[in-house]
Order: sequence, then C-alpha cells, then structure tokens
Amino acid sequence: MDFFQDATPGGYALAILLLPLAGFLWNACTYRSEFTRKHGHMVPLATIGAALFCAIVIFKHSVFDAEPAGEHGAAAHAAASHEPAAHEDAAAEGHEGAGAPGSLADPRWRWSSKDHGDYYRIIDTGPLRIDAGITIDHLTATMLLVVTIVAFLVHLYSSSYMHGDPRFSRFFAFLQLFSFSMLGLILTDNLLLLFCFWELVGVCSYFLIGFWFEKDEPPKASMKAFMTNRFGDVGFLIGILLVFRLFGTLDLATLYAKLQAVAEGSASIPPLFGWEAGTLLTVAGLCLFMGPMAKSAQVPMHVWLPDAMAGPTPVSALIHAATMVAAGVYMVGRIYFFFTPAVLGFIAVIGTITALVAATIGLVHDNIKKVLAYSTCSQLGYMMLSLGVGGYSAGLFHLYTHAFFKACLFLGAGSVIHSVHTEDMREMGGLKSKMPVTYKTMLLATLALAGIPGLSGAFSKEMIVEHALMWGWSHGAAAMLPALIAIGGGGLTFFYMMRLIYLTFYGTPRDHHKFDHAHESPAPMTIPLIVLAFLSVFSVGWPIPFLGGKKLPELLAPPPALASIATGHAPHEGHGGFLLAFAVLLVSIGVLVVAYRFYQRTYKQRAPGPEAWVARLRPLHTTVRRLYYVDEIYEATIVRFAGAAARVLAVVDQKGIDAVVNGVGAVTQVLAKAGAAFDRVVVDGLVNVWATVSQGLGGKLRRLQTGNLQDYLAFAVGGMALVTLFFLFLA
Amino acid sequence: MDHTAGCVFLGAAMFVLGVFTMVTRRNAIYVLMGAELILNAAALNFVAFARHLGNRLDGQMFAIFIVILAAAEAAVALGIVLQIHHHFPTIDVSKADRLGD
Amino acid sequence: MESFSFWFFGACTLIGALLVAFGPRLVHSAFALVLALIGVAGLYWGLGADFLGGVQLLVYVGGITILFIYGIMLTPKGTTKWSASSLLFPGLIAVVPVAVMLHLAWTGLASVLPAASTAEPAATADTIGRAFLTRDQYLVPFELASLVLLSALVGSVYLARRKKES
Repeated sequence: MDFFQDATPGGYALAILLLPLAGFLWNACTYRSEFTRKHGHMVPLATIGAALFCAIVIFKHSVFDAEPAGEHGAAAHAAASHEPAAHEDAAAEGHEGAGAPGSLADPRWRWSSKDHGDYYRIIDTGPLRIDAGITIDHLTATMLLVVTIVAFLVHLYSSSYMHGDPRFSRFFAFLQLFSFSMLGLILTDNLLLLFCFWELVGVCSYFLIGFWFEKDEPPKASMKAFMTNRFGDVGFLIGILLVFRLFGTLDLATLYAKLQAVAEGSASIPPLFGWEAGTLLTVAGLCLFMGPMAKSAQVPMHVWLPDAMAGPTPVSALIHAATMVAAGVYMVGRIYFFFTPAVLGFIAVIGTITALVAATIGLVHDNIKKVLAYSTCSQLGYMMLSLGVGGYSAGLFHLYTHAFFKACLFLGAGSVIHSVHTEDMREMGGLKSKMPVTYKTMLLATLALAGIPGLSGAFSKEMIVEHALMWGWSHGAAAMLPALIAIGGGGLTFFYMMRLIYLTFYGTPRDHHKFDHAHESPAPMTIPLIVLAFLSVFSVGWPIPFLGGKKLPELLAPPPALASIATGHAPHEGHGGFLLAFAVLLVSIGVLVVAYRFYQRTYKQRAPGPEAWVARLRPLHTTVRRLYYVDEIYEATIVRFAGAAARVLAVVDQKGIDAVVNGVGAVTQVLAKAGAAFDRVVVDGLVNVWATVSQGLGGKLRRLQTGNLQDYLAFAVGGMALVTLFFLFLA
Repeated sequence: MDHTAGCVFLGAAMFVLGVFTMVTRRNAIYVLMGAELILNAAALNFVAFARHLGNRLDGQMFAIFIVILAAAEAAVALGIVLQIHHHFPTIDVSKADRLGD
Repeated sequence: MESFSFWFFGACTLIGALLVAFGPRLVHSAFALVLALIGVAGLYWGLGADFLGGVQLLVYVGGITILFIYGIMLTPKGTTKWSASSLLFPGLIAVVPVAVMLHLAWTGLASVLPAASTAEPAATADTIGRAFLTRDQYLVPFELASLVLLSALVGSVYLARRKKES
C-alpha cells in the first residue's frame, strides 16, 4: 500500500493539527477542576506526544517510503554508502532532470489533500475562493518533526519548571494553542490561512511572554513583541493583497503553476499602477518579506526579541528559539519560488546585517537569556542570508539544527536560572561541578552552534558559507561581503557563546550564597536537555540507523525547480570542498583559543580584562551595549508619532464625534419635549376643550330648567314661533 | 266687505297678548286669563275662516267646542289655583319652582 | 254697517286684550277680559255665527268670568309685578308674530287667502243643533264633550274643597 495514494497522511496531519487544539480546549474548559489544577500538564503532554508520533509517521513515510523504485532512486541509494566527500556526485546526479528525487515534478514528493478531494471551502465569493487543504512535502514533514520534538520536550520540561505556579494549567493551555497554530502554519497550503496562523502564533507569543503579568516587564515586552510583529504583518498583508491582485489566487500550488507559466513565457502579468511585471513581483516579494522580517527578528524589527526574554524560559526555548521565529524562515522557504533576484538580494543583505549586529550585541550582555536571544537573532540572520544567496536547503537545515541546539541552550539556561535564581551571569560561576548534566549538554549545544565539525551545526553552517561564497563569486566583489561576514560572524558567535559558558560554569563562583544553593535540576528538566544535546550532535550529517543508514540531507534535497523560476539559475548543491570546511574549522578553533585564554587570564589571574578593554572602547561599547540605540530611534519616531496621532484622534472623537452624538441627543430631547408639549397642549387641550365646552354649555343650559312654568311656556311658544317662521319663509 | 284678514290679525294679536300675559304676569289668575285670550283667538280664527271658505259650519262647531272645553278647563284650573293657595301661602307662579334646578 | 261693527267690536277686543296684558290691577284686567270677550262675541255676529256669539256671551262672559271673579275673591292679591326678570324674551316672542303680521299686512293678506266664496250664510242655531245630534256629524264629540264637562264639574268641586289636614 502506498501511503500517499490514499488519504492516510491527511488523517495523520489532521490529527497533528487537532490534537494540540483539543489539549488547549481541555485545559481551558476544565481549568477549575482539581485534576487540571494539580496535573494540568498531563493531557497536553499526551496530546503533544501523540502529535509527535504522527509527525514521525508522516516523516518516515514521506522521506522513506516515497523513494521511487527507479533509476534515480537506485542512484540515491547507491550514493548513501559513500562518504560525505563524495556526496556531491550523488547530489549532482540527483538534481538533473525533472523526475529526480527531490524534484517537485515527482508527485510522490508532494502530497496535497486537494488531490484527494479533501478540502474545506472557507470562502467562495466568486472572484475570491479560499480552500483549506493540507500539503505535505519534505519541507513540511521535516518541519513538523522538528516542531513536535521541541514542543514535546518543552512540555516535559515545563511540567517541572513551572511547578508551583498559580496559573500552571493555563500555561499549558497556551503552549497547546501555540503548538496548534504553529503546526497549522506548517500544514496549510493557502497564503491567507498561513497569514491567519501567523497571526495566531503572534497572539500566543503575546500571551506567553506576558504570562507573569504581575511583574513590570512582561506586559510591556509582550505588547512590544505583538506591536512589532503587527508592523511587519501590515507589509505581509499588503503583499498578500498584491499577490491576489496579480494572480487571482492565494493557493500556493496554483501560484507555483502560474509563476512557472510566467517564467516559461506562456503567461504574463499585466502592468499595474504603471509598474511592469518584474517590478510588481519585486514589490510584492518585498512586502511579503516584511512579515518574516518582523517575526524572525531581522534588523530593524528585531527589538522585541531581547525583551521577550521576560517570559518564562520554556517559552523562550519553544517560541523564541526553535519555532515561532523560525516560522519566518519557513515562510520564506515556502514562498521561495515567488522571490525575484532583487528581493533575494535584499533578504541576503538584511540577513547579513542582522547576523553581524546581533552577534556584536551578544558580546556585551550579562543576562544569560539576553545573550541567547541575540544569538538566536544572529542565527536567524544567517538563515536569511543563506536563503537570500540561493542556499535553500542550507538555510532550512540551519533552521532545524538551530532549533535543537538553541532549544537545548535555552532549557539549560532555564535550568541554571531555576537553580541559582538569577539571570545575571556576573553572579554565576563554577557551576560545572554542581550541575554536571546541564553543563555537559549546554557545552555540546554551544559547540554545535559554533560549528565544530562533527556536530550538526557545523554542517549547516558550512553549507551556508559555501553558498555565500559562490554567490559572491558570481556577483562581484561587493557581494563577497555576506560570505566574509558569515565567516567572521561565526567567530563572534563562538566567542560570545564560550563567554557565556565560561562565565556560567567555570571559574570561581562570584556569588557564594547562590552557589551554595545551586543544585542539578530534576529529571523532567534534564531529560529534554539530554535529548536535545543528542539531536544537536547527531541529527544532521550522521547516518540515521533506523532510516536505512542515510543521512538527512540526502533525504531532504530541496526542490530545485522553485528557485530556478525566480532566480534564473539552478541552486547549487555542490560544496567548495573539504578545504573550505577545514578553513572554517581553523577559524573556530582559533577563536576558541583566544576566548579561553582571554577569560582565563582575566578571571583566574586578575589580569587586566574586560574592564580595561571596556574603558578603552567606551564609546563603542556603550553603543553596542545600548543596542545601537535602535530602541531609542524607534521611540523618538514611531512611538511618538503613534502617540500623537492617537491623541489627535482622541480629541477628534471627543470634540467631533461626541459632539455629534450629544447634538443628536439634544435634538432628540428637544423633539421629545416638543412632542410632549404638543401632546399636553394640543391633544389634551382638545380633550379638555371638549369637556370644558360640555361643562360650560351644560352649566348654561341648566339654567333653562328654572322650574318656572312661565319660562317653559315662553320657550315653547318661542320655539313654535321659530318653526312657523321657518315654514313660512324658508321652507 | 271681507273682514277675514282683520279677524285673522285680531286673532293673532289676541294670541300674542295672551301669551304675553301668561308668560309675564305673576299672578295665577292672570295666567288663566291669558289662556282664555289664546283660546278665544283660536276660535275667532276658526270662525273667520269658516265664513271665508264657503260659509261652512265646521269652524263654528269647533268654536263651540272650544267654548265648552274652555269652560271646563277654567273650572278645573281655578280649583287647582285654590289648591296651590292652600299649599303655598302665595299664588305667585314664579315662586312655584320646586321642579327647577 | 258691517264694517262699523267689525271695527267697533275689533277695537273692543283689542283694547280689552291690551288691558288684560298690561293692566296694573287684577280686577281691572278681569273686567278688561269681559270687554274682550264681548268684543269677540260681536265679531262672531259680524261673521254670521249668531248662535256662537250667543253661546260666547252666555258661557264665557256669564260663566267663566264669574269664575275668575270668584277666584280673585278667594285668593290673596298676590303680586302684580312682572314675572320675567327682563321682558326681553317675552317681548321677543311677541315681536315675532307682530312682525309677521305686519309683513303679511304689507304684502296683503288678502292675496294670500284663498278666494272667498259666495255661498249663502246658513242659519246657524238650527243647523248646529241638528249637527250636534246627527250621528254622522258631531254627535259623538257632543256626547264626549258632555262627559268632559261632567268630569270637570266633579273634579273642580273636589279640587276646590278645603282640606282639613294641612
């Protein structure tokens, strides 16, 4: 039976999507019950574990079972037994032709629920039709696996970390909601639904950052995160509108087909606003990129990420290291076929700037979480850089590997914070002996991050550098800058990460009181650390036993046809060779040595250390420390402007709109009074007049009844006379 | 000469004066006298027209009946007046207004 | 001759009526009534109703007037003041017929009246007597009138009796 020919993947995918939602609803509806208050983590853990299982199933089938039994499949099999060095042959061979494994043209590598008639029509207004379906390809399957693994481990970790918190079950409800949103974002095949889930993820981030809202920082930070994300989402939405206007559809598969037609010349995009097709695509691409720019914390919209560390550490691990910020990178990967070379160049530039700036800031902070946050920001910059220079799979791989080791680092940091009750590294030190598991796992993750060969992080980083070099080589001298910065940034990364490890775990403890209290964390916290460290080392670049001894990259070759449409050239999957890897390794080791010596000299031998350096570089240090004053710039411009605009509008509302409303009220009052007066005077008056007339007339006529006979007689005769007159003269 | 018109006028005059007397005079006897005047006026009219319209007898007969009934009425009325006098100290008809408002 | 009697007796009637209406004293008005009645009787004779004139004199003047005198005698003087608080209303009532009459007089009553006939005046006493006793003529009313007279007689005697209990 072929897993993909029937609708079974759809069933698993739907389960992945709905299980966390069910967990969220469960926790939300039963939060008062005894069970949920004490064990609010159990149901969510179960649901996310089941989602993980489904993700594994899908992954296995999409990557493993869907190997075509043809020539190309055999070639791929044959290539699997070679060493990494010979990887290039297989890859080069595998990427020729449209029917190669990994090619989108092979329908087996992309499963869409719409092909099986399974989709949910959300909107159908004639011109606009939104059908919600599920698409599974390699990108989706891998991402699902990564997200569910990290989510499951974070759930496990939180059951211990958040123990004793008064809103324990609510935390898990939010985690579940977030998982649902993130998984939905991955699974959807429609741009508008992607945007919906995008927003939902941002909302969950808002809830989770501001989880401890009694404190000062979290509410401000969550608002800042949400606002910055919204700012980017405006661009995203404009991009979506442009796409719809240009192509009339928001379904990704249809868009791909249409763009393919445009690239082949069989269709064309009509001019709009006086712009030609190329410019239109570029503008749309830039607008669309605004979303990932904000969500993946690229400069200049990175300002929310460090402040987001005010949330609980598991949140930082899940959302702000592994998944949500990665959603931006994922989205760029999804819509990769849409970006023109100009847009890709812009992405590369932004990524480069981010990588460098964030790395420099990470050097000067003392808060362990903030250093990790800037590290995340920098790594995201690397991913964007890679995607911009054409390294599609390199960037995505870096996403996966980064998810694992960054999550490990954050959870480890959380473990340390939990133990010594501080986030300031100046108060730590020498914890190596007290928290051995945490120390070892964090060290492994750091080495992976730094790109030590043999660990997964090295592999993806190396691929990025390679692509950058090739791109720079083919695009001229100035274009070599990203590559150089990639390498240099790698050094900086290693430096500040080692600084972090050293300050935390080595040397003599700077705060003895805290040191004495330090202890290793309980099992639910250390187990995820171990698992993640393991994954950091082995996930990429090593043969995977139970998948038949293949290495991950071989199984997940990217669809080349995507990039070729927009960039005009096929992405290269070859590498610069062994030499480059060695060069990178040398740089890493050199930096390691420098850092170690520097800090060791400083803290053990009291040599002139950082303080002296700080004094020498005071202006630079302050600038970097103050985050390049980006926040201040924002404050002065946008925030002030928004505040002023809000005040103006408030006045308009008060004076203008309220005046109108009050005026209407006053007029109504007047009319009501007039009506009442009318009723009183006229209507009642009429009635009263009647009564008065009757009374008066009656009173007057009563006097006729005098009782006097003669009067009666007089009346009778008078009447008779009148009648006679009448008949005499008038009748 | 035909005096029919004159008799009619005269009858009318008598009638008016009789009504006037009945209405304006306070004494009950005056009221009766006014009634007599009215009756006579009517009878005169009857006879005048009987004569005018062919010397008929009807008018005269009717006038005789008027006389008869006037006599009966006068007798009864005077009896009533005497009764009023017995009940009230006066025969001022303007004072007999117990049925009034 | 005829005209003279008409005018003479007409004047008597009119003057008598006026005196009844406007006379200050009750007894004078009673006697003025006698004058008016006599005048009417004269008019009757002028109109050819000789029997009726006689009856008028006998009954009215001789009977009813005596009754009135008795009434005047037996009742207190009362007041001779005018009854109505203003004479406006009775005056108006009087004015209307007067005006009508004058109008008619002006336009000529004679033109309004139907044409006079030229039949012979009949002998009255004999005819009236026969009419009273002829079944197809006035017998029934005659008998009824006598009944009325009888009841009036009895009634007035009863009415006029002095009440013992007050």
